[in-house]
Amino acid sequence: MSAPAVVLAWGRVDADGIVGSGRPQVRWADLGVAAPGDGRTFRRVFGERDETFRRLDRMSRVLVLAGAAAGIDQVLTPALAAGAAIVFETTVGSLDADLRFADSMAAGLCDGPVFAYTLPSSSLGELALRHGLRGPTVCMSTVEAQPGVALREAGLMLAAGEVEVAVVGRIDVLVGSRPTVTPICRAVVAVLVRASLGLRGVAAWPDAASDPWRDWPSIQGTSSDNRSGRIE
Amino acid sequence: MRWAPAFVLGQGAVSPFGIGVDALLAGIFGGQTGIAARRRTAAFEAPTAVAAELPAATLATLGGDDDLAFRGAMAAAGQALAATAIPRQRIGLVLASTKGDLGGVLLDDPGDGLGLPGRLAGRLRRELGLGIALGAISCACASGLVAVAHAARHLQAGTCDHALVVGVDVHHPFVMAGFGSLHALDPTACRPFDVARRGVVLGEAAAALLLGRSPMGPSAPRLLGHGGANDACHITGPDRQGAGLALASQRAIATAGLTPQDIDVIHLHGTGTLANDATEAIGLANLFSGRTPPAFGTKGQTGHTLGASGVLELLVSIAALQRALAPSNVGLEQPDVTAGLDLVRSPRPLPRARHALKVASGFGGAQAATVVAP
Repeated sequence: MSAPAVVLAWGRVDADGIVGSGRPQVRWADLGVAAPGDGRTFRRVFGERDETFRRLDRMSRVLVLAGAAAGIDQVLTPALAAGAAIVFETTVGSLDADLRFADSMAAGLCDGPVFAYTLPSSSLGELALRHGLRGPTVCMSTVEAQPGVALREAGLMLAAGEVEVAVVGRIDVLVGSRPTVTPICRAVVAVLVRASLGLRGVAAWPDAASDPWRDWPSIQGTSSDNRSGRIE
Repeated sequence: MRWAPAFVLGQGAVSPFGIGVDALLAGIFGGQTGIAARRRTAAFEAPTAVAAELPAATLATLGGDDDLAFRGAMAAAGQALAATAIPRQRIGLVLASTKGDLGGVLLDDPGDGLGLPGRLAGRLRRELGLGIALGAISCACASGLVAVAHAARHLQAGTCDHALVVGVDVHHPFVMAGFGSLHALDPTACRPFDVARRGVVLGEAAAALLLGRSPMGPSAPRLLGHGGANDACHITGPDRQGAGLALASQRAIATAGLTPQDIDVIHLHGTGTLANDATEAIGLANLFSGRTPPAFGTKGQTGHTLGASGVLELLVSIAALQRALAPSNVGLEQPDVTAGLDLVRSPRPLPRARHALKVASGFGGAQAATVVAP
């Protein structure tokens, strides 16, 4: 695909830490917590309060961290944000919350607040409400499709003029409480704008050798069990 | 930006009214309901006595209730593909589902679907022999319309000439318990827009639309425009003014090259929850300058079929235009939303039947709308 877009900003959360365009990496080891952090991570990393961060599920927390690392509010005016598409792909989806809710069922509790996060689009909603993103919302489950489907989708939207801005990325977070689960923590958020707007970018349109795209290839689980999130 | 039309070349359905689009439409336009006392799901722990289940005869035809998401999706897809001789290698597949196959999520469940729609999509594509994987959409209850827009986007871009969109969700203890834990289930009936409404009644279905870049005949229904938006205000509750739904609808109408005055009938989301119905009515009334065209919903008949609902309900939208008839809002006795929403109380002939607007909303604030022509 030709380059229909400019990368205005990006953020990444992975097993090492949190990093974004224009900001140095914060390592989990330095924070004294393991990925994906805890309810205090946002304030410790960004020095700001997020009133509801603590109650979020892990997938949403990681997505919110990656969005903050990208500095979405710094690069998008409210008007641009109001038209921004939200396009993400995920392989393990909301399985982390699913397993937690299933465990609550087994305990006879049925944890409603957890159930609200058993859809991956809920995490996208958390990102949307923090940054005023009111464009089309697309969440893709990518067990079979090639990694990068969200990028292609956003590229089609931008190239056709359907949107001027797309916040695009991938998100896979799985800790789980069962021994068969292989932990995963990886999120990339990139803010793309149509090249025709003439804005200056911080990274090249998909270039596998550089950020934010270098960690986009398929997740490689270490367990042969289906719960690991491996791609078939 | 204006969308190129996507032509509807094939349709399929498995619903609480049985197998086939004809059975679905006979039930809908006959004013029947598939909602009844829970039987197959009676053992699921949930604070409701009712659900819209697939009939026993349908389950028997499908081969039982084991692996039902896959079996149902295969049946609906098979119907949509039956009317065409297009080589399957040239058809792309898009799956719409909230959770796909939930096997393996509950403790002691040996399945391996894991609630990941992508897994089910891969299995379907291989079994159907379709050559192009366009992806699986999981956007909560807006999944169906988001998937249709996704397919139309790829048709427009030339990724493929034909796309099969399959929506599916079936009853599962996980989902029923979850909606119960959110206090979102009506315990006895589904009454969208009615003063007595108390929540959702869950349904199960599979539906399929085969879309193409050309009509392959003298005429075919067309999907003219698609719009999406996010409420950006709450992950499970709607914007109180219905602004996101109105924005998605506005975008769909505009990208179809139309204005609100060109819309002749609306197929509502209408879940039966207090907040959703009230805000949907406000948003649409505002979009249509205080008075909407005739508006109907079908979840009082099919139950809320979640990720399947967008595709399933598009079949009804198309039929409403083709028959120039809006079906009634089953379960509605005393409206409790703004009078600006022109709710159909009994089957109403449409003086004009050029364009229908279908809308959907989902957790995470996702809103979607599609404009259809007969």
